[in-house]
Amino acid sequence: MNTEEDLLDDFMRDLMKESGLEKAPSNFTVAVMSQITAETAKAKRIAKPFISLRGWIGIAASVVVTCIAAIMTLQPSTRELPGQQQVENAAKGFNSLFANLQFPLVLVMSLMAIALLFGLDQYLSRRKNISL
Amino acid sequence: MEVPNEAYHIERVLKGDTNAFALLVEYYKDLVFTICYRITKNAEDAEECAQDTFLKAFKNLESFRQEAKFSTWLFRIAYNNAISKQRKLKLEYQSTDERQVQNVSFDDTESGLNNLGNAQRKHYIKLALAELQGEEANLIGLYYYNELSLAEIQEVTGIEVSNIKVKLHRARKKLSVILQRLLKDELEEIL
Repeated sequence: MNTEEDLLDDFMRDLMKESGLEKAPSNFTVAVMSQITAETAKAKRIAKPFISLRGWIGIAASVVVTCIAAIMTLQPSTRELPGQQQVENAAKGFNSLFANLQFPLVLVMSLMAIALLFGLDQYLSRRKNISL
Repeated sequence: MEVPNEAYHIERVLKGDTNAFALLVEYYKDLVFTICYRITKNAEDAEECAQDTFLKAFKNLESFRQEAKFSTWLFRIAYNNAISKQRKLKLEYQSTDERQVQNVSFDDTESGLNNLGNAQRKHYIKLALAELQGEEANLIGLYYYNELSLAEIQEVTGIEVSNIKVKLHRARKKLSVILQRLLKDELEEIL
């Protein structure tokens, strides 16, 4: 850099130091932090599921345990459960698609219950998010 | 140019202490606002740009690599924000006569400024900076005020070092030309 350039360089440094910074509005930090707080709260509310992952694992585990216990211990009963006939018919129809596969009634009902709970969870979560 | 215990405050924010971020905002607000202002040339747009910068920084703090300087990372967000805002606003700048830029002598500018009081000097410097293109004004600010190295300016702006040198050289001369013109106008008004 030649002398002229050096002088111009020093001159510019002095100018810029003298001009200083533009001042942000006095309520700037408060405005930013309130936006951040709102964003954080919103993110927390949206991210929180109606039934947590742990809850779902618990439900699935208890259903599986119940199914196994039912298959291993329950004897065929003469008493009919409410809607058993319809479920059996549906299961038969389903079974006819897979002739070689047999689904125990308890398993079918459990799967339907899980699907219903999952659907309800999704529906309620969506409604909750929309209402935010 | 760093908040004391900056890494500690960033760590606190990452651990969920939102209030720790307020300290970073308070420290960097004017620096970020200035970057936005020099490009958008408008206080309202600059405020929006600066707020958006801090929001983005907060949301993406996890992606910040601690080995880099937080200020450089933050300035890059601000710069990119301001540039995209400028593109939306389609700002136009006054062109400076090339011959004047080539033949400028800063001696005249310096002596002209020395005849003014502090407040007036500051006023004219700000006016001249406002007439520079946003990118040029920012390069000058980052280099001379923030004292960033050319490599750091490259990190902030994404412009090659060789290109930064050329742009800085031109911006210095243009600023000098603009200041000379402003001071001449002032003198003519007085006379």
